[in-house]
Amino acid sequence: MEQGAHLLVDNALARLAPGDRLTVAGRDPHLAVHLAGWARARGHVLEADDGLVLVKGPAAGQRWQDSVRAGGPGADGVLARAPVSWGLAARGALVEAGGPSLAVDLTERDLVWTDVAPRLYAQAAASQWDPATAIAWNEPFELPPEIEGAVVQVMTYLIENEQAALDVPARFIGRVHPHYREVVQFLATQVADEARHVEVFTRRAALRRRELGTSGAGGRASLQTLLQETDFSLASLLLSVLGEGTFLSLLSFLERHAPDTVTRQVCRLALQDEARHVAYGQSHLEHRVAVDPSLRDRLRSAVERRHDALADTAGLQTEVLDALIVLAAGEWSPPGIARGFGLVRALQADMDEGRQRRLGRLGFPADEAAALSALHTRNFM
Amino acid sequence: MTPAVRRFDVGVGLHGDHVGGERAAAKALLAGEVDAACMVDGNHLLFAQEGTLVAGATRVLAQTGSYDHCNMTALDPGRSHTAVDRFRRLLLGMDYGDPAVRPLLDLEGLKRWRDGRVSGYHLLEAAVDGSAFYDRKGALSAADYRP
Ligand SMILES: [Fe+2]
Ligand SMILES: [Fe+2]
Repeated sequence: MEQGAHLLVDNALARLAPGDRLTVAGRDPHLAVHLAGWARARGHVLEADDGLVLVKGPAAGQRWQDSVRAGGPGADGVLARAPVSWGLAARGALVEAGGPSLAVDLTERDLVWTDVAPRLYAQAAASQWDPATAIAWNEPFELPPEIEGAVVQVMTYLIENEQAALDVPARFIGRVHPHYREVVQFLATQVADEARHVEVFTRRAALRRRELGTSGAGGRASLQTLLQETDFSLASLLLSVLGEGTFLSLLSFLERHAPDTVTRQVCRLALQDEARHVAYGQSHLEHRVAVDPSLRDRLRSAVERRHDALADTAGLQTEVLDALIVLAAGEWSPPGIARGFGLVRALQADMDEGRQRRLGRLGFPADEAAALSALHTRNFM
Repeated sequence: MTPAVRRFDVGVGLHGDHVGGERAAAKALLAGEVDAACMVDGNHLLFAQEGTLVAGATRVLAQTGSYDHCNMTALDPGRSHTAVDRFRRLLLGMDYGDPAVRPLLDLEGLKRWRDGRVSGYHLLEAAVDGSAFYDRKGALSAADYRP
């Protein structure tokens, strides 16, 4: 018993019913003493007899009599509702009744789920890149000061947007029932992705200059409204479908027109991650409107509410828009500026077209999708 | 020759020790400070499993018969018979299958409460009297006791 023999006894008892007898034999001189103490603590009775005979007690059965199987480990074991009384138990575990309840409120599958969650999480886990090695930080380049200044301003703007995109999923992680494990896992990768984006945009901004660009109050007001949205699905719409969706256009624009390798690489890597974030938000909302078409009304009012909240703010600061023009121009010359101006106009049309397409996939008719897209924040995110 | 008794008082504010005192006794035994130590059978097993005692290095000299390690005693029950009776019914009604009370039973090391028994204590009683731990009125008289 001093070296684990209780496992042998337990194993034999497991096959018996309460009240059944088990004869125990062994050579340890302390066996009788130890077996008595062990059995008493577990509610078995050691019969006062010549041999060592245990009578199985009811405690083990009593402990598990109200236990529940918490779904199954695979995606096919996901249940429509997960009780908070399951706490942090693994999905698929046999959960003993009792214990503290979890303080989470997203306890229904349809509030957070999409069938592609397991696949998107796996993809995200496989796509984590190392900022130290994925980018050619030491690649020599020198840009005209106006162009370098434009890059620094765009990076400065991106950083605060990435920070908001990190904050929003981070706030939801603690509110999703861990039964919906793949959702929590995906959100965790999203937070890690945004952490890297904050890092690489900061490093690019500070690569040649000691000072960063400006942060406008209007842009920050726009981002603040994202943090204030406490409904998971509405936040998915505002952040992922509309905000990060718009950023897909922005990042591919930056990748295409980047004046240096480092800028091109950081934008390309961020773009890959963002495509996943958009895919999650989009497929979650498609799942949810399929289950509950009335959600569309709430999605519409979320966009309208945010637009009203931002009506008195500047939205995107002119410095950022101007920096995009200069960055796309690639040179400080009147024809270059004119070209950059045209490219940014085209970018904004592309952003609008992307938003309308995604809203259309959520079941909004074309005219409504166009109207809602027009209400999206001028800050892009 | 009367053996000298060394007590290992690890009090919890009551006139009784918990497992800590028995563990200290086991350590004293292993260190050669005492020749024998008293402990319940389950703790002898526990101390060997956790490594306080070297497995197989001690032997059991003698065992008392079993007695209940914990008793609820109501003083002057005549004055509040209903309260005492209710307390008794509540304890006996604690069901190990009930998740709300199971952690409490686990803390006490029980699977259920049983009707009070006063049998089985004669050896303990003789030892306590022999060491003059309590006086005739039941008051604590051991001068060096630190609860
Ligand atoms: Fe990002
Ligand atoms: Fe993102």
